[in-house]
Amino acid sequence: MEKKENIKPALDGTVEYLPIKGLPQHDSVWGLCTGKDGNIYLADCGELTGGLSVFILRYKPAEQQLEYLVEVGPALGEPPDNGHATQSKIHYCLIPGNDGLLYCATHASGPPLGDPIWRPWNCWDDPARCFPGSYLFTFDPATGRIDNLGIGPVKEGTRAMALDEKRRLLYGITWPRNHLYIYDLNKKVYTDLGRIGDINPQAIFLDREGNAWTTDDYGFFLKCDAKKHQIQKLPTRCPHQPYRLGWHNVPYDVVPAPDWSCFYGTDWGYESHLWRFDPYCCPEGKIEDFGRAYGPKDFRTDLFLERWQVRGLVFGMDGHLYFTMRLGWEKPEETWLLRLDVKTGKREKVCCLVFGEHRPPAIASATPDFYGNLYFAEAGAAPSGIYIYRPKQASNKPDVFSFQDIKQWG
Amino acid sequence: MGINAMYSEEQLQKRNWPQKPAIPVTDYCSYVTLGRVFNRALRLRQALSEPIPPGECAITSLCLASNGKIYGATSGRQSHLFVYDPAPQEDGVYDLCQLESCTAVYHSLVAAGDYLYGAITEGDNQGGLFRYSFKANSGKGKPCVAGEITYLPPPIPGESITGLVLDTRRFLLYGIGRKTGTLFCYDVSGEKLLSSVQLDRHGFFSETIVLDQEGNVYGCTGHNYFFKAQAAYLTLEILPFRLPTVAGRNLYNRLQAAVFHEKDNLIYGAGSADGLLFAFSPATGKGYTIGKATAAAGCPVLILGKDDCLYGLNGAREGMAHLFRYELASRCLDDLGILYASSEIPWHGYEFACGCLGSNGEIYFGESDRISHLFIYFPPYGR
Repeated sequence: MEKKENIKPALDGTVEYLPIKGLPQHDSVWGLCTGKDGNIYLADCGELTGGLSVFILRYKPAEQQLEYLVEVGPALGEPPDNGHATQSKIHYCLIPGNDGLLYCATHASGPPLGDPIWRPWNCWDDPARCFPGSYLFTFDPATGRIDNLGIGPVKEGTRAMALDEKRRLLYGITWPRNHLYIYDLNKKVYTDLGRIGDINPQAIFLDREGNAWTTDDYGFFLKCDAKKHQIQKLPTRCPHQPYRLGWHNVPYDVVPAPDWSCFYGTDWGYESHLWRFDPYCCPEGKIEDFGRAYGPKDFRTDLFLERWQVRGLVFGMDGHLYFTMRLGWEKPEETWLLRLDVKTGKREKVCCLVFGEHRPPAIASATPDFYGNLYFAEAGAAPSGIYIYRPKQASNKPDVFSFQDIKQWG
Repeated sequence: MGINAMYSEEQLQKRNWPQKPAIPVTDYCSYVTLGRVFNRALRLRQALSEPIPPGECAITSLCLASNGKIYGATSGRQSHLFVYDPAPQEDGVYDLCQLESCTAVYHSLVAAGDYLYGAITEGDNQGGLFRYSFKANSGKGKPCVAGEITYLPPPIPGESITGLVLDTRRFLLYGIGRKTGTLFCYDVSGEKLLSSVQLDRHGFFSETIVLDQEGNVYGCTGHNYFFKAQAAYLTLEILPFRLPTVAGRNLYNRLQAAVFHEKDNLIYGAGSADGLLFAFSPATGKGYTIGKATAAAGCPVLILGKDDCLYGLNGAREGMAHLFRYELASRCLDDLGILYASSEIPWHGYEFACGCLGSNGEIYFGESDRISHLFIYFPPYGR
C-alpha cells in the first residue's frame, strides 16, 4: 500500500493506518500506552502463529517514526522456540510509570513453535507445552534495561493490570482462572486474592484513593480496597439490555474523565453500551448509562461475542469520547472511529477504518499523545498496525495533554 | 533521550519467521461432553437469595440424606451448612445455618435416618461434632426450612476431625483425628466414644477411610500399607497391600479417595500424589493398579455410580480438575474432561474437594474455590 493510501480524511482531521511491517507474522497490538516521555509504546503480539514472542515498540510522534525496541521472551529467558506456550503477548498490561518505566506483565495464548493452536485447558498438566506463567517486569525505554521480577501467576497469563504507583502495587487479573492478584513492587511479594468470576474482565482501574475496580461476570462492581486488600461486591452494576441477564458484562475498556472526576467504560461484547461510573459520590458508586454506543438503540445482540465490539475508548482534545465500533446494521459492515459528546450525548462518525483492502478485524485499545493525536491499536491481522487520528486542531507542540492525563491501567 | 532502536525494520523483515502449520485442528474440546454437566449457585432458586459469600463457600463435605436431598458443608472464613433439594419446584440451595466457631468441615458430613452428623475440622470448635435434625423438612416437595442443630462434645478433645464415615447398619461413626492420626469409633445412638486407636506414631497416615459391608474400617498407615480395623473395637491389622504410586513418591502419597464395591467385594481408591487408581480386595489382601486417565495429580473425589462405573476427579489445588470414568465391566478408564457448565451459571469448575451420589444416579461435586458451586453431573444413559 502506498503511503498516500494510508492516510484518509476524517471528521475534523485525518486518520493514518500504520502497519508494523517489521513483524509480518505478529497479529495483534494489545498493550498500548503513552509513556512519561510522551512517546507511544505498543506491544505487538503473536498469538495466532506458534513460536513468536511479543515485541515492545515505540512510536515517536515528533518524528512520526516507529522503532522496534525489545523482543520480550528472550529478554526474560523464555525464547519462543523453547517448546512452551510462548510469551507471546502483553495484553492490557503495558502501564506507564511516572518514573519513566513501563510496568509490564506477559500474557498467554500463542502456541509453542510448530503447533497450530494452544489453549491453557488442553495443556495445563503438560510440562512441555504449558505456559510457564506471566512474567512481571519493568522496561526502561530510556536505557533498554529490563528488570525481571519473575513469574507472578504460574501457568497463567495476565489479561489486565493496573499500577498504583503511590503504593507501589500492581493489580492483575489472570487468565484463564480469573484470579485477582496484587504484586508489591517494593517487597517483591505476590498475593493471590482468589477467583473473581469465570469471564475475564479486560480492565481493572484505580480511583484516586488507590482502590482497584473491576466487575464480576454479571457486571456488578468489585472493589479491592487499597488498604485492606479485600474484595467487596457492590450492588452497582454495568448496564445491559433489558432482555439479558447481564452475563459477560465485564468491562472491556475504562478511561478516566478528563478531570478525573469519574470513569467512562464499555463492556466486553454483548451489550455495546457506554457508561459513566462515579465511585466517589456514595459508597456503592453510581452508574449512568449512555445506552448503545452508536446506532439504533435496539439493534440485535449478536451471538458472536465481539461482532459489534466497542473498544478503544480515549478522550480527545475536544473533550469528546472517541471509540471504535463495527456498525452491524450498515451494509457493508465496517469498523468506524466514532465520538460521543458526553455532555449532550451526541454521536458522530469520524472515519471508516478501511484502507484499500485492509480492514481491522478488531481495535484493541487507544491512547493520546501530548499533541492531541489519538492512537488506536489493531488486533487480529498480520502484520498488525496502529491507526492515528490527527485532529486539525492538534498542536505542533506537546502541550495539549501531559502525563497527568494518562491512565495507569491497560 | 531514548535508546536507539534495537532492531531495524529491514533486519526483522529478513528474519526467518515461523509459519503457521497447516495441521487441521479437530477434536480440541477439553470439556466434558459425555453426559451433561450443570451447576447450582449456593442460593435459592431464581436468585431469591444472595449466594453464600465468596471465601465462605468452598464445598468440602457432601452427602445424600434419606429424604433425597443433598446436604453440604463449606469451609473458609465461616462454615455454612446447606441443603440442595433436587425437586423440580425447588432445585436450589438453602443456606441452613452458619456452623458456630467453625471454619472447615472437611469430608465430615454423613446422614443417618432423620439426622446429619458432622465434624468440625477447623475453627474454635475444632474437633466437635454436630447433629442436625432435618425431620421438619424431610418430606419431598416440602419447602426447605432450617432444622435444629445440636453441638456435641468432641470425641477426642483437642483434635481436628476429618474423614467421617457412617456404618448405617450399626449406627457407628468413624473418623480421623488429624493431629494425632487417631482413628475413632463413635456410637451415634448413645452419642459417646466407643474406641480409638492411633494409626502411626510418626504421623504417617491417610485421612480417608472406607467401610466394608461387615463394618470393618480400611485406610492407610505407616508407609502406606492398608490396615483393617475391626468394626467398633478398632483392633488394627496391617495388610500386605500398599497404596500404589509412581516409584519413589510413596513419601508424598496418601489415600485420598476410596469406595467399597459390595458386589465385587473390592475397595477402589486413589492416592494424592499421583492419582493412581487401584482396586484392593480386603478378603484376599491383594490389589492391583488400574492406572490414571489424566496427567493431573491427586484424586479428591471418587464415586461409585449407579451404572456400575466409577467417576472421579483428577486434579490438585491450583489446578484444573478432570472428570474420569472407569467402567468396572470393561475395565475402560477414560478422561471425560473439564467440568464446564453453562447452566445455571456459566462456569469452569477447576478445584473440587468432595462429591456424592444422588438418588437418581446423578453425581454431585463440591467445588472448592473462592467462589464455589454445586456441580451436578448426569452420566450418559448406556455406554
